Amino acid sequence: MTLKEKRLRTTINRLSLLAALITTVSLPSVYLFTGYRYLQGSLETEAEITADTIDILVTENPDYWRYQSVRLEEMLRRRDNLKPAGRKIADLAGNEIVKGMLLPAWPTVTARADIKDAGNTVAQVELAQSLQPLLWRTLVLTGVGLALGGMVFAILKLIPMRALNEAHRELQENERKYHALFSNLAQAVLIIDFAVQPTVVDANEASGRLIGLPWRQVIGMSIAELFDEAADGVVQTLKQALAAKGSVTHELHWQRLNKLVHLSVIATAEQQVAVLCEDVTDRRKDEQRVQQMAYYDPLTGLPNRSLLYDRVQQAMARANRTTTKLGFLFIDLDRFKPINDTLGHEAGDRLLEQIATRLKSGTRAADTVARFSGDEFVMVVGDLQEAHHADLVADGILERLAQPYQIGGQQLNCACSIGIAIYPDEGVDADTLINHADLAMYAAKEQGGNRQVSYSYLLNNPSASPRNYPR
Amino acid sequence: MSMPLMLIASLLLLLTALVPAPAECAETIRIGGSGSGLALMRQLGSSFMKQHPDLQVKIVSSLGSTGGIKALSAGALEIAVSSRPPKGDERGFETLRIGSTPLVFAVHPKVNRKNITIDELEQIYAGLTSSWPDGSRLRLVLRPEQETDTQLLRKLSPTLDRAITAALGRHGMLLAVNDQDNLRLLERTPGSIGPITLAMLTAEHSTLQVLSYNGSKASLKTLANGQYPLRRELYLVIRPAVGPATRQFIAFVRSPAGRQMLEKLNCLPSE
Repeated sequence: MTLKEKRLRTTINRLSLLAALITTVSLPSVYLFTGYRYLQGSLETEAEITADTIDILVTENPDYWRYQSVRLEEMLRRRDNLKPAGRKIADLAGNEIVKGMLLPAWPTVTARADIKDAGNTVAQVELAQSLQPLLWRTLVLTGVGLALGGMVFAILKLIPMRALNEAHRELQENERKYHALFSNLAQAVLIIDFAVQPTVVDANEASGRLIGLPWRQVIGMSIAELFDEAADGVVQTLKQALAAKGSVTHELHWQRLNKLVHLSVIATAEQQVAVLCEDVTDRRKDEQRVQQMAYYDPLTGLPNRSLLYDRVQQAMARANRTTTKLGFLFIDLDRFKPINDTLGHEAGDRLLEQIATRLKSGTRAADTVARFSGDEFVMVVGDLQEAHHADLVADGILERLAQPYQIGGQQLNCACSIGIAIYPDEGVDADTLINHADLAMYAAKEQGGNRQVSYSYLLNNPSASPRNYPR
Repeated sequence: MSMPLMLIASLLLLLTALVPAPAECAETIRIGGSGSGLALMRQLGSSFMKQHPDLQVKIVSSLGSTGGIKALSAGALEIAVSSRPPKGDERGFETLRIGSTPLVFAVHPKVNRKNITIDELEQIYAGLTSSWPDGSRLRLVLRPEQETDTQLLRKLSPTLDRAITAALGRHGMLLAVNDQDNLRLLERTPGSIGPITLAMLTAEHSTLQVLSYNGSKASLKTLANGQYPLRRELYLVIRPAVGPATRQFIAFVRSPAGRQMLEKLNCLPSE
């Protein structure tokens, strides 16, 4: 039971008790008060009336009125509707002129009224009545009030307590459920409290597995102890989540664990966050692998046609910004098919790998070499001030690729033909430029291979255009 | 002071001494108590004062027997007239029985009745009879419980005793606290009936009709021979140490003249 719940139960108890007490006390006390006031008022009125009646007797016979016992007694008895009541008439010295009837039982309520002789008080009428009947009735009502108070207490306590117990039971069930979920969650979860300093106040078993410590040992660790040099970044992320009162994500390389971990930070209270730690090392590798498969040629590791087009867009944008040119070099291996046919695809593949390596080694980081298809490669060379600079790059490639290859203990020679198209002079989109470069490459092949031909040359010499260009 | 002035002053003092004292200065005998007896005492007092001009008899009304004895005890009276001898804490007085008078049932002058029986009284007190034979309203005048009249009537029959208790407990009944009130109430209430002494009716020259009781007519003769059963005694109560004037008055009451006056007022003097 939490402290708040204990307080709530105590408050309900106290309020119920207070309501019961008010119910118990109010009924008899109101009855006693009104009953007492009524009795007192009745007695006072009766005393006044009796005194007024006796006043007439006094006025008629000032010297002898006090000896008219029978008459005075009758006057006292005449309004005897408040039995049993003590009644007497006494002179100013306190001597009884007419003694009362019964002395009422203690406690009593009394009322007095002056008997006057021409305005001068000569005696007093005193009426008294026992309060015992009223007190007995009040006692009975107290019993009724106690019963009512008990009912009020029971109702006022039971209803909210039942609701509270139900809520408590549901809460416990939920807590059990969520704790089981929390404990058995595959994802590591840390509850971090900021009340004093960022400290782990709860952790699940998965967190122990992730961190490599018993999970109970994780509880109580500070952020600095847990995340080492990445602690500052983590604290910032946690603070962002607290400030946003929402969730924030953060990915870090947890050096101590040598793992890439994705943190999902959720503010759960004013000074508390839940941190879901996910080891994404493998996932990131898988993602990289998928990306590699999607954008790179699996044999040569060179960008594939999709990535080539993407890089071309970026290169064109950069060329436009810097007012430079791009060179599109379409490279096709000469007589690759006979090698493949005679030495086998395995040897062909090894040859393609080595060619790819030579192509990459001769290019700058900003340039792109992609495997376009089979034995065709496209190189995009940027930052060209002049179109003929592409020719120089092509010459370098021809030279590098013409060097012999060692495949399966055999030395092979494999040259290539290169067609060149220049952006933006000979086309403004990738397909056009690649087609132009391809056309030029065919011209180079028809001219005997192991050479380069630029598309501008074909434009200037239409007779040099390839005759058997298939596309 | 000059000589003539001194002479005039001396003469004035002498004249003052010679002038008879006013009535208030004469010895006063204050008599109070039972109304029935007071009516007699008033007439006896008048005759007594004619014989003794130096003495004055003052009648204090409305005290009743108990009140009279109380006032006597307090020194407010010289003689208390009572319809009963002193009782209980009223002891220590000298009591003189002066006579008795018939206790009668009197009715309003317009009520056409001459006699009343014990059965009729039982019916009336029980509240079973509330009208006269002519259909007019019957109005019973009660006396307080402690009054001698009530005590006498209770002894007539157990049924009447219970009926009187019931009547005293009924709300709204007419109640005469003393004899004077009783006489006034009976006289001015149409259809009234109630007990009263014949002596008082005589002394007060009342117009009320006196009823025979069970066929017996109330008179000193029927009272003396026992034919009439309802009797009320009259006593004079005095303190043992009483003045000579009071003794003189008592002697007058018991004198032949006094006894004659009592008889004349329908009071049978004691032997």
